[in-house]
Amino acid sequence: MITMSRLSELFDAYGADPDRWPLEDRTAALELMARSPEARTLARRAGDLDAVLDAAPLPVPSGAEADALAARIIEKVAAPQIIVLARNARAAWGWPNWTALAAAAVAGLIVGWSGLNIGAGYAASSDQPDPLAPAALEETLW
Amino acid sequence: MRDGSDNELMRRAARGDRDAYTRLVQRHLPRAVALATRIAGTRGDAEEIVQEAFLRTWLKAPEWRDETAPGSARFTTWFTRVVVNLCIDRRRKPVMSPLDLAGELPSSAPEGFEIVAQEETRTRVQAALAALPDRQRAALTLSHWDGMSNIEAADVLGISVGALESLLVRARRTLRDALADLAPDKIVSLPKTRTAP
Repeated sequence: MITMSRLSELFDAYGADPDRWPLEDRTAALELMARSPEARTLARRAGDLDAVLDAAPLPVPSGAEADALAARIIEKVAAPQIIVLARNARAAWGWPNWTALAAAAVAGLIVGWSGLNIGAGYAASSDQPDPLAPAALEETLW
Repeated sequence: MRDGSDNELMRRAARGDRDAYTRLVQRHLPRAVALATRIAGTRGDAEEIVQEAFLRTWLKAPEWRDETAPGSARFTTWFTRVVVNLCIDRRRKPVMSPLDLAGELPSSAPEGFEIVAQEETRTRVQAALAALPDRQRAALTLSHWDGMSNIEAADVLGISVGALESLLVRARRTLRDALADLAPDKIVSLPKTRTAP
């Protein structure tokens, strides 16, 4: 069961193409459209906007343009500074250095046991955004 | 296993396999450029963004987790998120006019009234899109043109499905008002939009 209000939201959000609607709403929405002239009017209106949007398809690069850009990208990862960064990343995520881990564990035990507060003043560092994280999306939506 | 999946290519790239990385780039580049051009506004910006996204992919490869592991993202979702975030970050820096963001016009005028009319429609749509807030434009691009499901698009944007719907509603209402004079029967050479019975 779906309300006309929800169906209207579907048109407003996803347009008239049922393939774009959330799966959980699709069957009920189609049933309501089949029996409601008002729903079909809303569908036509949403379809009009779909048609206008479809007049501007995504600007996919030509094969030659894509090949040229791919070549530039692949060439870039061979640049010396990128090789160093990549080597560091692989070392950081590679097989663990057990000696270093054991030393760190011992140091941690000593620090914890002695009550030193080495991390004071650095609490905010854990809040630093991951450069790969969706930082741009962390603020309020609207 | 050498199945050629994104996951497999990322594992090989993590070991420094440039052939695997090359396949990954070739596979995902056209879509990435298309999305970035639409969201960032210009092809030049899009190419820089896509280069940056693939560079991050190369550096990220060693810590890439198997996509079957709990909490791990599919490569396509993760990569699209990187591209979209770079687009939005870039848009925050320069102040550009809607005309700048309307996309590049064809270098020579196409022949024939129908093609000119279609080009005009495309330019109008792109200009209206460029005037939308960044996240509304990103949401609409992923949902309408890229064909992502609501769950995938929400995941890329790091928001709930409800929040995605809200962005889409706002975007489509704004575009409907801005493009009200572009009646579909005046738009030529368009693929027919399916309508439900």
